[in-house]
Amino acid sequence: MTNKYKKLRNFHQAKWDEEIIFELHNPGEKGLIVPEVETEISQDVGNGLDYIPESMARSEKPNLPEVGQMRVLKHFLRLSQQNLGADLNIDIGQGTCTVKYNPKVNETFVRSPEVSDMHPLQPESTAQGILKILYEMEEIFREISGMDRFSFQPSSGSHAILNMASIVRKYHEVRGEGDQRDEIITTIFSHPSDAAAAAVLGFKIVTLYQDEDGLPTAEALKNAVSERTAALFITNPEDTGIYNPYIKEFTQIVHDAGGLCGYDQANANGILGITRAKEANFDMCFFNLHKTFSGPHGSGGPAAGVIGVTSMLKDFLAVPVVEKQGEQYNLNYDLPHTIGKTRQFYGPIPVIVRAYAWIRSLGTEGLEEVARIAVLNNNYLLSKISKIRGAASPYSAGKHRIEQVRYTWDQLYKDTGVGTHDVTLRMADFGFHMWSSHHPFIVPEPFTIEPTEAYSREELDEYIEGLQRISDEAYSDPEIVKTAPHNSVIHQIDHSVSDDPKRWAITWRSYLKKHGREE
Amino acid sequence: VAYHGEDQTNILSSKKKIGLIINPIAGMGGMTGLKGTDGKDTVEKAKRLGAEPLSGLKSGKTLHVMQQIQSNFDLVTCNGIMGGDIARKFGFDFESIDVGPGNPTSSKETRLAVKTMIEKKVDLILFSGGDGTARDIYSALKDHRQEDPSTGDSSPGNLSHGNLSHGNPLSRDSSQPDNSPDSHSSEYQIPVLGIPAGVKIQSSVFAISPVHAGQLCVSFIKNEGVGYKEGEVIDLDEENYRKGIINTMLFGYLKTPYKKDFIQNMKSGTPKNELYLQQAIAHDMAERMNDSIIYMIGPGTTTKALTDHLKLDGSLLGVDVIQGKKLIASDVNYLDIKQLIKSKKAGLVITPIGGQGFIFGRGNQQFTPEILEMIDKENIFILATTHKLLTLGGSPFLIDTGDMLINKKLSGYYKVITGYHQSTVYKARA
Repeated sequence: MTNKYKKLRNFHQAKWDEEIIFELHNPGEKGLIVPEVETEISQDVGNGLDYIPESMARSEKPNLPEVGQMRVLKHFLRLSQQNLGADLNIDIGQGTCTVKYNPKVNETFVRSPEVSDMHPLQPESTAQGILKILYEMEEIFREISGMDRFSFQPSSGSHAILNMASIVRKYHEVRGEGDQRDEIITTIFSHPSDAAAAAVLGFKIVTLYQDEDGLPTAEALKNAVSERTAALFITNPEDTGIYNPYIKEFTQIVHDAGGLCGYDQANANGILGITRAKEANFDMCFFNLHKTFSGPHGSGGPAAGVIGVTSMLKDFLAVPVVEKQGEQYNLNYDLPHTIGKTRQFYGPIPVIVRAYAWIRSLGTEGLEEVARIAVLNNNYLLSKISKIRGAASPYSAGKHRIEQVRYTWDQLYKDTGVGTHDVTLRMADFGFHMWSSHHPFIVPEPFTIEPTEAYSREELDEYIEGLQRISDEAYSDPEIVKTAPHNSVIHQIDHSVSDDPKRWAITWRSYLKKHGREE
Repeated sequence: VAYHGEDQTNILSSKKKIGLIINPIAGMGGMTGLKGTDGKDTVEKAKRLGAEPLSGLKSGKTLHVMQQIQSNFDLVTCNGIMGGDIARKFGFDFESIDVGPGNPTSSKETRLAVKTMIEKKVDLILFSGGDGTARDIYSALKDHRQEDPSTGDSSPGNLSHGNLSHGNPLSRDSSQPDNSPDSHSSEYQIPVLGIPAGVKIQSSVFAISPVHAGQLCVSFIKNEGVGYKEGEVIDLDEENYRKGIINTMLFGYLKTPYKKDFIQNMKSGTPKNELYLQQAIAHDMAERMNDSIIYMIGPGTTTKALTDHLKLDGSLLGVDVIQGKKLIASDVNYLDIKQLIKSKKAGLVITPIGGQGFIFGRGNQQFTPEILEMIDKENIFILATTHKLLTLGGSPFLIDTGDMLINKKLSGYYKVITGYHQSTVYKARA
């Protein structure tokens, strides 16, 4: 078997018998000795702890583990060895997330004292460098999207959607239609946060399904809009990697019904420099700097979802926005209809600085090349994966995709009983990560692959060989796959526990409580 | 289809007892183009055309998967071709039920097997067959409950009794159309799982394939992540089907095990329990109800969640009538409906048949074309969980009222209520 799969590498995850950090608690052990307060300071402020309001002060010490510094270091290094992570494996199986190389040089900018020693409350006149970066980033994003004004407040894609929904609500309120327009329309293959974040603000969600080509239809949209329509929030290309060519007709239908159109461009990796929100007549859009613009991400951060609007909506943006008067940059908090402040201080500056460096290093042509190579890589994979027995790419047969594809193992599952969950676990045996898709599984036994521009052909081939080998195994000896992973830290887990509030625990304290080990 | 999240925890300690029933003639009609094997003459005809029993072979694939944990459960099966032969072939020790020498076997043997399995207190009935077999098993479980209601095979709270509430002058009419679904509901304690072997596999009590049935049984025996759903038992009239007339009927619901969706990773989130989603849908629908409108609530577990939400004693398989959030009448027929909605503004609350997508003309024939003509389309509310929509595989809802003009009137797009303040635009066609 080894000869046949010569690109696959031998891999075995490190496994440590490592305790939960709370179990390492050894009374009296110290990780860090906090220095005494200097006399000058204590004379000036007295006991700093007295400043904590009585209602917020603890009466008992927190039950934190007491562990020496070196032991803590070992603890977390061991845990990190038990994980697959960015910079270690071929992360193309995390489709929709746009996992790409995060240039290490950009970390030096973020860690430089000019950025890391900034105080968020220091006078604007002393923060001109950061403000200049924000101002120039806005100019860059105006070019990329065609929108007229930007806010750098949102700290994630979902947060940006929440900002869009807040603008939608405020816009209709100002026009006296706030109570009437309470529905936001989205599509089943748009990012689920388009529905979720809008629902947080109390909007009712109307979802359009795909047709046999995998696209929502204008006919369905016409039946969805009404005098209650507040907005359309849509991704394009959708999670299937299919670009909706009728998008302009969509925005027209919604505008005719009196609604706004918000473009979820969290992932814009396949269309940078090729299509823009403006030409499709969107009123607003947002970009995730931690996806398309190379910010490292995982486990929920650090993230930034910069949001742009047309001039019609510029007074609704979250504040502050950055302005330039003469040679001076300043922050403007005074927008007549602003949705207010949606984050502390300036916004997620480190993420913005990394993205700024990345964009400046590529230039206009470079950005467009990113999109072209991402699309090329994706279609290379599409042609290879389509040949793997048991795998298929539903919808739009024979057509190219943009930057990702939602595939299915449906045939493999029907033939062999090996489903996408089994393949995911087996992929870990080769040091790969494979992701299925957001629930619900519209595409049966789904998996979503997005190679971005960052991976070489050799790496793509290695990944494909992993999928090929697992398909071969499923048809010849499915038990190998069904009992995977074999080279991992943990083997199979009964996930049903996470559906059972009596068993799951998200803190050590609740674990002890639920599992009868309360002290 | 209603999904319940509960685990089989009550019998954790004891060894499970699995009852296996094989309908040996299921699937024979398919090979020979006879569209099913209901009826003795058809079986003979299929045999003359050279059909061979496939059902046993298919259940062999299931037993092959279950072989690995043979010592973890007890098998109860019928003698001969209805189970014993194949069980022996795979080396199982089993307790045998004598159903006589019937050849070809008929529904009589299946019913006898179910009855005996209830007495032997099996934990799961695993059967190989098609919709007809599922229907036989459903009938046998129902008969048993009616004969002996004390056995705890049903939960009385979930039953409709066909009676009317609040002294309404209308009474259940004996002229109820014969093809209307049975008004006495499911909720039998013994779960039933089908190995797909018949020609017609429309009921939602079947596993995807014989191999999957085996894998699900293994999970059931080992108590690993198995939940229960109320699987629809659907069958069509084969006599008519052979003539090209499709007349599907919803007979009731069987408690069916299913493998709970695993959480793939953090980002995909927890799939919501279907029961919870049905309650969310009911909550949304209740908010939309207008006291000036009289609502007919169609059959199904999704719509039953609405009457449950309103704390009304609704029926599972019948049509209930509600106004001002009060039950006007329960389990009515089309004549009752006609009487009730006369000169009133009326609305319908319905749910599609899972896997098929019929919204009119199957399972709710109480809504005759004459009645449907009196309803404005904007007052038709369709309730379905996203999971139920997914079972349609992208196909539109289907309408077959028997009246082309009404079919046309009802076709087009609906905003289907899929959760609290959540809807999906979905197409229906005749």
